[in-house]
Amino acid sequence: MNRDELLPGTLYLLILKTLARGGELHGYEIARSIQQISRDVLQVEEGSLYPALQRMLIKGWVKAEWGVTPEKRRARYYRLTAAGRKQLEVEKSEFERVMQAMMRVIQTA
Amino acid sequence: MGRLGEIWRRLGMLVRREEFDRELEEEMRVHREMKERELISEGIAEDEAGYAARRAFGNATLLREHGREAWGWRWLEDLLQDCLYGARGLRKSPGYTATAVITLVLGIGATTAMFSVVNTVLLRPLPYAGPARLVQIEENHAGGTNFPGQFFAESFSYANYVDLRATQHKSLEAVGAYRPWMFNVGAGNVSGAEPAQAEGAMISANLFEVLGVAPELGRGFTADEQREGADNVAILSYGLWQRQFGGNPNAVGKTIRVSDVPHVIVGVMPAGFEFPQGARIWTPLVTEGELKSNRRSHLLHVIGRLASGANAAQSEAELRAFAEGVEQQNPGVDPGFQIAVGNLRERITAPVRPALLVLLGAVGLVLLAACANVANLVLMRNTTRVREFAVRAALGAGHGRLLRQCFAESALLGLTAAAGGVLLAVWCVKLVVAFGPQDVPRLGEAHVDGMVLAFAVALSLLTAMAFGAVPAAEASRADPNGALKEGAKGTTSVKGAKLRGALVVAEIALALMLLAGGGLLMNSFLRLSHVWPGFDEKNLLTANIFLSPNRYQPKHIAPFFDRVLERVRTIPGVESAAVVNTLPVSGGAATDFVIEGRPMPAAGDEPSADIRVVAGNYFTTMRIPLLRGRWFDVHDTESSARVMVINQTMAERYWPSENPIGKRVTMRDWGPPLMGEVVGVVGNVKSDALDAQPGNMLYWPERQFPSIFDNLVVRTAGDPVALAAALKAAVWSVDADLPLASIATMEERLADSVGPRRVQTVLLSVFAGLALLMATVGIYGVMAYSVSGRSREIGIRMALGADVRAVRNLVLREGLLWAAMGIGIGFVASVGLAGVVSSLLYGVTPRDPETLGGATLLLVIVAMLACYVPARRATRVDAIKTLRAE
Repeated sequence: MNRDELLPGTLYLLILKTLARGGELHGYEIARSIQQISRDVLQVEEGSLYPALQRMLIKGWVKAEWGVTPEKRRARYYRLTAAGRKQLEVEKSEFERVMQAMMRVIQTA
Repeated sequence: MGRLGEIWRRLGMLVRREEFDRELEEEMRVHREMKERELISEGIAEDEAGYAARRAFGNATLLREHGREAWGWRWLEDLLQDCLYGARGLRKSPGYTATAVITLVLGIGATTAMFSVVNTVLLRPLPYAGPARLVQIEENHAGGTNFPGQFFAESFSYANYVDLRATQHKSLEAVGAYRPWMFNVGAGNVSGAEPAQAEGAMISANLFEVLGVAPELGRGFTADEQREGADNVAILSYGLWQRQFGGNPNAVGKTIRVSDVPHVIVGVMPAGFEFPQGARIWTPLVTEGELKSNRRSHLLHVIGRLASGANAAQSEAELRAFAEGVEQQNPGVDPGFQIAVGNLRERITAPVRPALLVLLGAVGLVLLAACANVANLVLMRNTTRVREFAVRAALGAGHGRLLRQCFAESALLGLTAAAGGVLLAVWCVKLVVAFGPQDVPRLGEAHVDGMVLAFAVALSLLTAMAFGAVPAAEASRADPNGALKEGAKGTTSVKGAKLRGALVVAEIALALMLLAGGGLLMNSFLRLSHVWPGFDEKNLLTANIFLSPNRYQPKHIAPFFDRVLERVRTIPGVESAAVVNTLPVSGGAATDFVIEGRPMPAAGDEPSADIRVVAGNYFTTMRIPLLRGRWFDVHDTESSARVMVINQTMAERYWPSENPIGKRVTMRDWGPPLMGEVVGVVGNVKSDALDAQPGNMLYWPERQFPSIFDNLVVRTAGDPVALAAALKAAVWSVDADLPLASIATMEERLADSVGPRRVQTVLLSVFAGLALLMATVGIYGVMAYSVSGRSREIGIRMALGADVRAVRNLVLREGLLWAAMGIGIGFVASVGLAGVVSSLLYGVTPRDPETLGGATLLLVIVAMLACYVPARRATRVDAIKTLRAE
């Protein structure tokens, strides 16, 4: 599904977290934010953001509204819903669980 | 909320699809432009920045599709696209489309029509409240004559019914009874309405409650009205109310003459209510008086409503115990009394079920043949599309996508055919209702309803799966490499040819099975129409008369007929006239009998005989031969010694080496036992049906044993129908108020008696004809296709010196090999399935070699013709031309 170079299944988590921190963002801002904060480690195939956002719209985790950028361009802004906030917690704890498990495997002599 | 919200959002998406597409497109474009701008601001050249932005973004088209896919409607859009594409393809090859659709319309139409009949007659619940709990309660007799599958096999005696009602049964909520009866109904308040004979029933007061049907107007009967000497009341059917009272609601409370006695109308039943079948008027069943203690005359039909939670089997077990109790208290009166309980709908439809199921099965075979035929058409068409499939596969269409495309096309064909098939079915059902046999229960209600429509659509989709599966599997395996390399010409693979051959083999096998079945039925019908009924049926006019006991006391009946016959004989063109209580081939009353001087038969083993009561010169009028003794004559009167005439079967069975004349026989049922002396033996007459063996029969003179149900039989010099009016006038000159019902020639009655059989035969023959047509078209199509595909091979053969004969034989051999295989399989299947139709046959065994041989021969001839035409065409192949074309 995800043709990015992220760990599978983590794109939702990144988007959710980015929106939780940034409030209302459009797609390009989300992509740039992920890239910047990860210091260019996480390379998202930028377009793959959009199918993911569509799926999140269906799930009701985010809401979208058309707005205007500071440069006076029309853009679609996304923000988290209550369900999205809850999902972020779910995704986060799931990710942490997996990461801890992986760490245990890697660090066990 | 979450799940529901999601569905809601998806639905919203479906509606705003175009808007969605535009927005996603815009959003992505904005993204790329922002990226581009950023790259430019970082100092990258403008055109370079555009590429870089696009590269970073990924495959925009694919991503957009993924975005759209997320909403889950992609399959629908694809399906729509497949259908549009399929429709275009079908429009472009009208010949193929027409052939396929017509074949399917015939298959689906015939199947749907047959199903709507089966649905109405066998499946649809009875139109009463809680129909699943309605049961028929039957009286049976161990060792006695049971007629399994016959309408109302065995009925109850009054006394047993009274006991049944008086006892509490855990498994039964209510029990009701009726006795079918004939009524002469006077004109109501509508001017011009004629007196009419109406079928009806005397019913227990609670019968309508048991069925759960309330009168439309007025009320049902009360228990008091079942008493002897109660006021005379009647309930009319909706139709009779319309006819005799013009639908006037004031009819309730009015008086109508029913069998010459004024009856107060207390109620009118709703339109369409008809229980028992054909009933138009009901009066209360009086279970008091003489009959109340009669345990031998089985006159009542009993139905019941199961208690909730009980089933028929439990009820039967409970009632068997009850029957044992009755027998212990009345030892030897009506020995071997047993009770059977069965679902009312199943009991009512039992007589017609086997024939209907055979016909439904047969029409299913026709549909299978149609499927095979269309599958072949699709296969042949697809071979010319190999290139198209290959191109699509090369462009990235997946295996599943191609498969779906094929099914979409099949489904399109199937649904188009379903529309045509339903129209055909509507028409066919009308035809069957109009010309179908009268006595099939509820056949008149048959029509194409929602259930049938759903059936047709499901059937067509199923059919599409069936005929689409093989070609779809073939097509989706298309190997783009090979197909694109080989050039434009569709190639016929060996495997494809085998597949087509197999389908033709199946079609031929199906056709043979149906031809064999149709042939057997036709053969039966032919034999039946040559059966000697025991009398000369030509130039006989018959009419039904009911002399209500209120108007005619027993002693007045014979004198009445004397006067009527006297008048009738004076009609010009009448040769002779007589009276009989029951006409041939219509069943009738029977009685147990005992022969004087013979040991009493064991209880339950008493022989029984049909009773016929005659007046006038019945035997000479009917031309029934006298074998021994004498006919009744004017000296056999009320006051002379009782005499009877017996039929040949009875004489041979009970007096095989003696002369039965002068022997004395006692009739045990029908009131006090009556003893009579045998004075004559006459030839057998078919009493129940043309296809039934005649049993024992004994004749009484009307003077000594009057009957209130009678028929006039008139032998005429010319066309009997021409005398109908004169016959009516003659009867009315004696009694102007007496209705004369169902005036018909004897030939018509005989034809009616085999009506169901005729319909079965015609239908099965039509199905067989359809299957034959499909097999012919199938084998011809495949052969013609094979010849055109092999034109190159044939061209080479001819160039190398093969003569016309060799080429023709080459083609013929292939086709006939398939035909032979199909016939072989069909033959084995026909022999194996013979048992299925055995219950519908008369005079032929289910494996009748003549019929099977004839069907096989017919199919061989047709197959040869169907192969010969393409084979001849093969010989005309121009070797030079074909080779040059390569």
